[in-house]
Amino acid sequence: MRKRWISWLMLGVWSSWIVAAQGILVAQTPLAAWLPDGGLVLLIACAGRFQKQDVPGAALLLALSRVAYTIEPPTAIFAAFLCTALLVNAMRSALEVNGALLRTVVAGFAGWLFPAWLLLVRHVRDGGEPVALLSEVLGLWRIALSTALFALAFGPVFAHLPGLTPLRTRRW
Amino acid sequence: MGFSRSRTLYLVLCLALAVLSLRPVEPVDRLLDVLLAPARVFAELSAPVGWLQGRRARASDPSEAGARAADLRRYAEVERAVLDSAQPADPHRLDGVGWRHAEVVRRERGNLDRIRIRVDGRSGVEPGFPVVSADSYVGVVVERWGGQGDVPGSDELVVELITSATARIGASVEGGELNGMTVELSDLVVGGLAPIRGREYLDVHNPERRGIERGRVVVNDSKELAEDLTYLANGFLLGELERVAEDGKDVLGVRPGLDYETGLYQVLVLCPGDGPVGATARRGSMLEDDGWRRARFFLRSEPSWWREGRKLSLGRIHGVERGAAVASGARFVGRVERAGLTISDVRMVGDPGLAFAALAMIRTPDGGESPHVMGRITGGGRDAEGALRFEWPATIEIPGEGCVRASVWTGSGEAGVPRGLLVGDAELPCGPGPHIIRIHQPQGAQEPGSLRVRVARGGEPVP
Repeated sequence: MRKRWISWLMLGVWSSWIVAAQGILVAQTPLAAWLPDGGLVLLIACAGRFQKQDVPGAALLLALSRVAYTIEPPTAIFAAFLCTALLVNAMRSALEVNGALLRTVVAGFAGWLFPAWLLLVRHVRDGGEPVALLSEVLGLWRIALSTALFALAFGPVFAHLPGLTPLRTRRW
Repeated sequence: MGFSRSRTLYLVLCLALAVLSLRPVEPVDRLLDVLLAPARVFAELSAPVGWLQGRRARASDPSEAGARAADLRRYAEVERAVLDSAQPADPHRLDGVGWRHAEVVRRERGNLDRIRIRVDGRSGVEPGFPVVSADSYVGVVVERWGGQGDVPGSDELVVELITSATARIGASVEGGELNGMTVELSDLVVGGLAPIRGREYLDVHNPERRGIERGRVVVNDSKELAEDLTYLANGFLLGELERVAEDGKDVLGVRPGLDYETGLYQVLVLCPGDGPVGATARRGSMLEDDGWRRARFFLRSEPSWWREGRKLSLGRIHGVERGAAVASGARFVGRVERAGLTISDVRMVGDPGLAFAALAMIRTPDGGESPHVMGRITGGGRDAEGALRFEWPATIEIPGEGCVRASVWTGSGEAGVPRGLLVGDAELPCGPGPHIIRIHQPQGAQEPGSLRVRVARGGEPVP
């Protein structure tokens, strides 16, 4: 039981560092639009490898750590992370989510949908022009592509981060 | 069964969160702020990662202190010009009239036709006194705000603008045109907004000559008939009379000389007497008052690359409220978008959608600077060169052609944002808007050092 608590703690630490590192890279590189969403890849890796009953808790924890670093509305972050976790959890029943191909496709899809959702929320709250939103959403293919490739290369690494073993399902 | 029910609840939760994201409900947001208080722990966990960003500039650093002193000197030069912008161009217009300087500090919640102004030492100012700004008529004082003594807002007065549906004032058209002939003077009543779409026009009632086409409309109220002291504002401008085609009908309206919605900063309250009455003007700089609190950002970054935001180390328990300004020295850094219990979200000046009241100090050929009220400008992010892009409605345009060089500062009238925070330098296009402008921030402004945030007193955000 104590090991599980330590694992949850470690998940919080890892997710914090991944999101913070992502923020620093965004601030320091001119290619920010090409940077993958590491927090999202960690969520997909966890949702695919954790015990099913732990997935919603992991999604909440990862969303909370994201909220600690971003000015996007917390409700939008929680909605997106919980929906992604639900989707991956549901797919696990029938499909091999951790397979390279499916993992890449899911990460690419989520990598496009998540920022598109956040842009939509910002536009609705600020009362922006729908045309401007459309052009911004179409420009998100770069982050979708890089997130997909990042998940392909590092998804298994994220699922095996030190300290997370007690939360992973044993059949793997 | 249990699994199905929990999945249904899960889906309902996701749906509710999605709806709340698009249509925020304040009580829910407040509750969430309390529940999310542990997020501060995660933000603190970023400390080791933050070391990668290098050392932050400190107030005591020679370069930081020098830049701060230079900004303050620069503001001191424009401070008097800003305050004097409330005075009419013709100083004789105030002959035989008492006046007291005031500053617009906020809009009334949910009522665009009312503003709150702050007058130093409000004794002697009563409801019914007219309010003007430069050469234009603004409205009339209708009530005192708040409590007595040191209660926040106790030195504030509520002004009902001439745009209010119930506002009426006697006026005259100077040099009006009727059937191609010039008419010296024609009386009418002005008040409320005319039913004209697309642009703000003041409504015209009971014109003495119905066929009048155009002319300059000034206040001309009768001392005997007026309920208030509005006759003190006789001669102040209401705007230009225009006849506008609307839905197949000719509508008479007055195009105002002021942006009543977002462009009211410095005003004068007119009162019986002669010359400045009581404390003449609010000369103290809000950059140096006690309405600030030192703060820091957890990380100088934002994981969403399309945003420019930061997490601030203070929250509501420290007096931070939504809309409060964050500054570094005299430089405008951003505004608090969400004030959590212990941490706050700050929209930086480069964040798309950030809006605030702005004031331009236009450089004149003789080397001086003259203030121009810009109204509310809305951010569009940064361009490839790092310059800030803003949409400027230019309701009150800069006369002339081409562009003029100007420095852009925060204006008055928005709760939590004091006037006189430097945004940067820009070339402003002349002529009617809207315009997209580019503002170049001072060197080092993207990495602000010592930070301060405007805090509330007694639940009321200070201007």
